[in-house]
Amino acid sequence: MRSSILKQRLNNFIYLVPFSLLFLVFTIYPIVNNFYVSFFEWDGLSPDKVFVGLQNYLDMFRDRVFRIAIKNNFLFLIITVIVQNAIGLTMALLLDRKLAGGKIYRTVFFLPVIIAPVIVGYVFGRLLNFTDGPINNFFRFNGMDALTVDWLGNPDIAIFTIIATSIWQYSGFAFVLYQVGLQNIPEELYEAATIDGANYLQRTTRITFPMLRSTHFSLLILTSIGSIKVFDIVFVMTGGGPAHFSEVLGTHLYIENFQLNHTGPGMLQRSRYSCSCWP
Amino acid sequence: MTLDPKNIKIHVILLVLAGFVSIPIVIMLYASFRNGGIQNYLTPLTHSFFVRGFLNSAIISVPAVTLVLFIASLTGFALSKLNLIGREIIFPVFLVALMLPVSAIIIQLFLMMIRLNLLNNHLGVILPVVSLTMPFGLLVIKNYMDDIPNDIVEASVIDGCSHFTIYWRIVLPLSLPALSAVTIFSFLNAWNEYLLPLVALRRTDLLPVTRLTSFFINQFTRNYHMFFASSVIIILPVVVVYVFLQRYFIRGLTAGALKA
Repeated sequence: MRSSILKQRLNNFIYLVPFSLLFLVFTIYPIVNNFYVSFFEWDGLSPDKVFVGLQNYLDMFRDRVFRIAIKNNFLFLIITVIVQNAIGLTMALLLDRKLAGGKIYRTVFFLPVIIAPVIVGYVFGRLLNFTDGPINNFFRFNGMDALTVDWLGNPDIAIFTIIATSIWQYSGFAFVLYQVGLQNIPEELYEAATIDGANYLQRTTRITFPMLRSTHFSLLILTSIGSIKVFDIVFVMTGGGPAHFSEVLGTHLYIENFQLNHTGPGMLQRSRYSCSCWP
Repeated sequence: MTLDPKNIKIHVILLVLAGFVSIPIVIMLYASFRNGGIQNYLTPLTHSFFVRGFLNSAIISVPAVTLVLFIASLTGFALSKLNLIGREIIFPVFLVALMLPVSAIIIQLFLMMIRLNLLNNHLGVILPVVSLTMPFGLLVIKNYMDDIPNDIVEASVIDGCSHFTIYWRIVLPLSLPALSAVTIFSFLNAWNEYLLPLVALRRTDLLPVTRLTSFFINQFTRNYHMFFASSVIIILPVVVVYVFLQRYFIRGLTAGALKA
């Protein structure tokens, strides 16, 4: 009897086998191996590796492009967390009532979220082209030449153009989460506040905003993860250029490894990078 | 519903926001029909690479979604309903990859694909996509299954059902809302994946739709009208499905985020 219970308990673990296998092979092994090879000088393929200790880490921090990439990821994080979520919250607050055409607005706002980021990147890259993109052409034809900007070719502006594009795509996601959050706030709170004479602004800042705490938190986490993960959109819009000024960690890693073959330091960035992704 | 004069100000702000969101899409549509009209669409649509691309995306997405659903629900069932030692520890460990960016482990995956002979093989995309998507699926499905009363499971055990029967016949059908959410999320993930196919697939006849636009820019240099048209064709299937299944899309993308 005892042994059959034990057998039953062990049998239950069979249900975890498929997940564990994929998890070990495609998540744990790459992370651990990444960390291991970060201490070697290695081209990724040849059998001989040379142990170099922390040299790769030192090289990494001396690398100008790596520092730019870190800075850009950080900019990406700060700006998207604030602007994207503020836009999403505005959309949700405006639509939190019975409104003619409300369904259409909701559909439009969420639409960009489902488009592949790489397509968004290509299309915006095209729209914002300096010499013959529709946006600059529009300004030129209307005699507003002063407004034509080299959106993706100017090293000071490129990363902000990319961030704005990303915000364009994902504000709808923040909108949807806030919409759900708003539905969960009990109506009585507003009724009580209205009886006490609170106006719309007061109700929004004193009740709505604090009551959305858990939504703010979810979005903070999700937007931060998104900013660390960003790759597609940067890669297709500027490829990290001009002169690496819009590089992020993802593109830097890809270009170092798949276009330049500097595997040693690149390898290490990856291991550093994968570690830095878990707060 | 009629237009309430009280809401005019709100409509003005909403229209401005909707304008910002839709202008790029409108320009894209407009440009796609200029200099050639419908021909801009017909040329890529009749191009064998394009048809192949859709087929390849389906070859990647359908098995990926199926595997994510099966693996995540099986694991979720075990962690939620079975007597497993240490399940409180196993669950958070399994969720580790929730925040892992593909680019962080891409070179390791690439070296692994070389060794396993998975380069230029759709499995080289499917397996990593499944591995990186299934933690989210597990999170949503397990949380949902936790709300299914344990009495149902216990009663079925007394009736002599095996655990697998309980999973397949009872718990899985009851979890349909969570499963549909995960289906949509993992489908979008697989369909929109760019980096993995970029690294794993080098032969043009294997490329999914996310790699097609770049091909068209090279192929028809300066014919940006055709480029926009091909982008529209790539986006369209997902958008059509979205318009019809809007509710499920939104639920799919927000399900895990809200219960996490």
